[in-house]
Amino acid sequence: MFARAPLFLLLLLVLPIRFAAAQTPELEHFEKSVRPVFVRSCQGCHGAKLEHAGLRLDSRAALLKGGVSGPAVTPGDPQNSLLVQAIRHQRSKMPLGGAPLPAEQIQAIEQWVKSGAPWPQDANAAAATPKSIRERAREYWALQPVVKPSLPPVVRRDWARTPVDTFILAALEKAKLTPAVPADRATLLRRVTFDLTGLPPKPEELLAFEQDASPNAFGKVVDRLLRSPRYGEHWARHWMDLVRYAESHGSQGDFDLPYAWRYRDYLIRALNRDVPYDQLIREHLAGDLLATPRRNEEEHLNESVLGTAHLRMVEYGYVPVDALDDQFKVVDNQIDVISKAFQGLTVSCARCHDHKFDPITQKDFYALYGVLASSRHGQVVIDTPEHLNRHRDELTGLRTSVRGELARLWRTAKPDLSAELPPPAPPPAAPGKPPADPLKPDYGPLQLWRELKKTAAGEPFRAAWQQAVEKLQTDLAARREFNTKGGFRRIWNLTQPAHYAAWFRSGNGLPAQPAAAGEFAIVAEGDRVVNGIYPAGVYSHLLSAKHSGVLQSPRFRIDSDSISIRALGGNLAWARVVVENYALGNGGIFPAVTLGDDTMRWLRFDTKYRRGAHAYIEFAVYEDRARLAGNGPTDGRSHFGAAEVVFHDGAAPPKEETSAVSLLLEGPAPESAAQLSERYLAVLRRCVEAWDAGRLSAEETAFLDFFVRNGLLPNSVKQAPAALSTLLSRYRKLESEVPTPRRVPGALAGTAFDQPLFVRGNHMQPGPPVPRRYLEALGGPECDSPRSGRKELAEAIASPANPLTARVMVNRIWHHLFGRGIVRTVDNFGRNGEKPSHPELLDYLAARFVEEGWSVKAMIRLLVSSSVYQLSSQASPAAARTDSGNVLLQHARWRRLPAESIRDSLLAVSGDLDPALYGPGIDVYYTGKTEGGGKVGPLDGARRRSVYQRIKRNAQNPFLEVFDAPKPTSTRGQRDSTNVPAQSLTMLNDPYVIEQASRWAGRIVADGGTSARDRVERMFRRALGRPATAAEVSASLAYLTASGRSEGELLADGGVWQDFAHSLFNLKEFLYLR
Amino acid sequence: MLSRRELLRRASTGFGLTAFSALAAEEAAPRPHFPPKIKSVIFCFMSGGVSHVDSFDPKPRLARDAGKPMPMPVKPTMFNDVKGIMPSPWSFQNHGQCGMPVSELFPHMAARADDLCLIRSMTSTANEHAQGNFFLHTGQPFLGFPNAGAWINYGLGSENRNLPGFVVLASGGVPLGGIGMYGSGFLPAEHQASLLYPEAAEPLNNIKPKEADREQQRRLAFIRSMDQQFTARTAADAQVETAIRNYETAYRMQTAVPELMELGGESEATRKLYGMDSPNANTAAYGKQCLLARRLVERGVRFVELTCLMRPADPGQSGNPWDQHSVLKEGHTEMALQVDQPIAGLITDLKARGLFEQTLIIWAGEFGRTPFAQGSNGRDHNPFGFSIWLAGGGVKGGYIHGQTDEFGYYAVENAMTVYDLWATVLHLLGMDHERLTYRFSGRDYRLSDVHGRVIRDLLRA
Repeated sequence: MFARAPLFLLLLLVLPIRFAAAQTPELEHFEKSVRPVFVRSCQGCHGAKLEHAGLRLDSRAALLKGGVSGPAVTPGDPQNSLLVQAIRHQRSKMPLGGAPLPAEQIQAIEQWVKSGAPWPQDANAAAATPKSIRERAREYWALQPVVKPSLPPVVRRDWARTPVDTFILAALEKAKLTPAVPADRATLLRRVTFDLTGLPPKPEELLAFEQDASPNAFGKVVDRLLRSPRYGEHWARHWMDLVRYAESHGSQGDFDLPYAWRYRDYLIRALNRDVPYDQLIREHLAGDLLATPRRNEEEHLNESVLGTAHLRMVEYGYVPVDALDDQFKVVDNQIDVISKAFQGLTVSCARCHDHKFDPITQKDFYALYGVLASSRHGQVVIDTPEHLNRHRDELTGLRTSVRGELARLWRTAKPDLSAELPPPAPPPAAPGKPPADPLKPDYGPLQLWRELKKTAAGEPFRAAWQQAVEKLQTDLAARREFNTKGGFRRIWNLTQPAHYAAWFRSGNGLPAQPAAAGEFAIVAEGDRVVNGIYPAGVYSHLLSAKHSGVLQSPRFRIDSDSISIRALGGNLAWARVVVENYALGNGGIFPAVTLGDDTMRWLRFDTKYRRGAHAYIEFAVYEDRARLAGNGPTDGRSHFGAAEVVFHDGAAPPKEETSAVSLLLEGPAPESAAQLSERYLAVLRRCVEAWDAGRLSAEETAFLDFFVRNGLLPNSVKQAPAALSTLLSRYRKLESEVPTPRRVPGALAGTAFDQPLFVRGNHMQPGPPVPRRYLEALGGPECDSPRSGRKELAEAIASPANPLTARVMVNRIWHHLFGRGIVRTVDNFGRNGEKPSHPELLDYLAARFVEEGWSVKAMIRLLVSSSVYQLSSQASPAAARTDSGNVLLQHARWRRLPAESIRDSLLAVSGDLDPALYGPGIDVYYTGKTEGGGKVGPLDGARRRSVYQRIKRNAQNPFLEVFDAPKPTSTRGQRDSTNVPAQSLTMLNDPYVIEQASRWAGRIVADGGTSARDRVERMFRRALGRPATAAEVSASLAYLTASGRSEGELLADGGVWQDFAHSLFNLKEFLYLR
Repeated sequence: MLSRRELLRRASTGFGLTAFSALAAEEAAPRPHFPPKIKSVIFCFMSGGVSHVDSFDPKPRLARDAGKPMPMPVKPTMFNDVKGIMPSPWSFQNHGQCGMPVSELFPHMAARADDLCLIRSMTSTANEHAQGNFFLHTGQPFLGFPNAGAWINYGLGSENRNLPGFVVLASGGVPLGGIGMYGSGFLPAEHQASLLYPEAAEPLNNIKPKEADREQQRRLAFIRSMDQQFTARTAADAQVETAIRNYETAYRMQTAVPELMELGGESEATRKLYGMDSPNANTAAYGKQCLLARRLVERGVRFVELTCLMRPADPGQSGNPWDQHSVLKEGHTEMALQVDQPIAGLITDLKARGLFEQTLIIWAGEFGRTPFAQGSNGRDHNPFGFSIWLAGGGVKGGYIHGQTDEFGYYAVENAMTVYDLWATVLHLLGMDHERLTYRFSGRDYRLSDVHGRVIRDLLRA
């Protein structure tokens, strides 16, 4: 990937130049005219990758040390510096083999040497004299422990309402600036209402605030807003920016991420309930592994598990030929998001090389890679166990009783062997494409009967019997031989508890132990009692096909051309070979099969294409699939059964060795069809007895199963005897009450492994494995757990001792309330980010955040209660002159509303807003084309807030995009705030805006406001959260009455009011906060 | 380094309004790094992947070894349905004074052989459409990075303030990966593509006022007076001033876009040249895109991308109409018929109007196709070596660069990357691809990532 290392290096080395603040003219000269020459012309051979002649030109120390010919420079003396002599072509003629440097560059270097060869202290200098990662971490402010500072002295102590103010004021006073006056109440209310809820204040809220003379009037407003469910919706959207929330996977196909929206609802609930931030981090990284998950009793769900959904919000390639490359991209993105969102670090930079600026090594990247790739991508169930296992005990008891009743019924049954059997079942569904087994009789154990039933008794029968028996035995021997000699490696036999225990299972349908032969599932609807009697295996649906189930093998390296499984299933359950964790594989070069046959069969996967890749085998019921079909079952029922896995190279799977017919061969040979018929009945009875006693052999199971499946034994619900009938109706009633588990995207435990480092980020060049752990700079201990290490990762990040976690989060909150972070680069606290404008304030807030139990609401309350939050936006002349960027916050910053607030404001102001919380994403309304022409939703978005709009990666909401809603690709803690004509065109001509203007006008006209003036005043308050000025009222009235119509006509004319409403939407004040 | 525009965009206050305006005016015309050869780019994107061995890269061995297995290792393919070597159903002839061999698929382009700078050694790293599309357009195989058109507008700005600087003519299909491919990634959103729909009643989203012009003007005047009262009262921030000015631009765009789309002034001969009179609806529609592309570059638009129309014969396809995994002959014939005459007409027309020298046409798909068959009559994706061409100012005409092996499978001489392509295009536009950077998330990003060379062999002396 990085084939041209010098160029690559060059970029990395150019980077710091732009940021290293050059303090002196000499250093500035160095940065401007000298270092670029070194980088471009010298370091390709004399740098980190190559050290020709032992010389490096990437630090002052290295130059002074020099190479084989001695020191490269003598500071202050260009004439006697080897470097200068070389570039002047006085000696070794550098750059080697190239044109001499231009004269001005030579001159610049001479001048630099003459001035003493100054070199700024920057990351490169640190890199040149290697220090340990821990040492480097200790030297960098953001990695030093948070220490709660004492409050600085200030003069205007009366102004400082909160400690926040003291820090801000101290800096202002130092700069000889006086804080602006407080904002007026209307401005403040609009500011805080948008900041906390993303919606405009209602006129009645404005009135209440303006009339509240109590000293705590504002505090009451803040409390009201923090209690409002709208708060969670708004702040969830901030969070969604951090985790690149999306409901599809992008790339070709843009496949849906099933039930991703449940994660959005989780965020809204969590923020509204003010779940501590450290808890949310634990849930995001290891919510599935917590000892005591956070339960939601009203909804009967485990909230903690939901946090992990963001791990799945990645972009996958479409049927990637190179699956490992795709995994690399996916894990890289996970690391990028986790490190930026929670730590403000750019760990992803270290995938090819040690981070050039921050103490993050390439090993760190691959240590985390192992942590993340050791978990698998799948759907997880969020219901609480009690909810999920509703009626489990009673169903289990009923099932035992049903078995007894059926056995009683079958013991006396006399099946009519002459009955016409249904034609043979069609061959099983395609992908594995097993060739039909020529040895397997289509008519099962009745094959013998079909052949012999018309044969005359006596000698003809004896001869025919002999012949048939020999044929059967030959067939059976041939099958056994094929299986013995076919090179089948029987890797897993899931009927054996030890093998089963080695697999990973999730879902309440899967048993603790594999089932012995003879299990069955009571059919939930229709006239059949059971479908059949199953051989030994693992089944997901023995109590209810609504139960969930994912069964996955340990990770292995594919070393055979084929893998065959013995399995059954129904309702779009699938079995797959999951290659390199690629979650969307569903056939083709990602072997997969839909399990559509309820009888155990061998199915083969062609794995030749994937030889050498890491993989695991997966069985999953439909709703547990990572990728759903367009035509899935809607009743939540789906099931699979699994028994064996073999590896082999041949093109055919093993053959069925269980021969039900062989039971008939025991004992003296029958001499007539009548005797054979008796034999059948005797064997059947024996099977029923064995079944009732719970000791069926494989042959007996197959025999019994055949008779049940083919309607040769009583199996009708309608004709069931009373006792059985009662049991069945009770069973079916309870089963219908079993809830369909609710799924969300999540992480499934898998084989934990240490990821080999990819040399220079090239996945084709694996190096040594790196033990799983967190960043060395943050003291990440190696993970000795047999599990992925996500839990340890969560603890390392959610720790109060982590120097970044609290700092990064309080800075994000600050950013959202003040329009700019204390560290402006909110996602980057590394050396390439910016330094904090108020470092002590940042640490004060971080310390307090932890002290107050990581409460986001408490932090927001603290910040908005400050004097500085409540300042007017009017800059003093001095501030405008000396602090033009308003870094010191002499006054409030102007901010454009975020995209969602603009769209939501229109709904709120028009009166259209549906305050419903939660639920599946609303399809987006598109005017232009979308890839694949996705579903088009309603123009008004079902009148729901923007946070409920569906987010498809390949077809995003055009309205929100115009106003800088971010693309869901990686962490975006700071949105763009562009200012482009397309926004004006949208507000002027977009049908959504016009529709909302029309609906507002409709309400205004219907509301029957008493006069045009009254309406104008009301509309101003509603749209802008303040009363209109006298000048505005008169200008508005002039505008409205230009047509010269009477007031009566005017009041009844919806068009006029729509026009006026539309105008108000287009005021800049509508779009900006001040 | 923050661009000046970026500084302005982020500064919440403090710039005096005058200072802002002056800076903004200056900013409106960012300067190239050195004198440019061209001003605009027209990208004829052949979505789905044109077979190079059937168009611009003749391989006699395919006929000689027809049906045999490939004599070299075959890389994994998307459909894992590798069959024998498949000869081209088309014959090649030499064209122009340069004698460039072009297959009979493209008779009109062949007639312009002396204008084409053919690259037979293009490569890509992606083997599937969406990743290939993203890679070709942005230099990265996924969503979220700026399209080359966005980079170019970021670097040079538009010469026409009333039209977007980056336009996608979207009568064709949306390439796989979605319209995010035309986005500005982390660059400011004003650099993203505007999708113009030549056949739609509203050619640009929200460009059409929903009321009479007089009504709108009256409303705009009211809004302006209200905004002025507001800014006067609150000493509003510079960004509010910009937002106010945007309404004026928006208003002018409402006129400029329909004027652009109005083809009444184009002569019959011009329409014919572009194939707009073709009985084949797709040829006519693609011809219209080509004509609009000329009108756009005439108006100073920096980057225009054209989209291929879907084949009516294959309604199930989604945005990649050149993708013939089967029925190559029928599919490629149909697609060539769609684009051949219009693109050749575009070259002719640009030359006639003196625009050819200031424009660069890029003709490229996201990859080529395999020399061996997929199934009985298709070809799978081949990113390891394929053909694209450039035509216009600054590049050689009638020139062939690089080559593939004798089967057309791998590029074996002067292999060229997507980064090289864009480095060269930026060079023609007067920009050093290593200096066109944007700082995002702690890193200086480039269109050429950490790669790319200007391929000087392609350039005229």
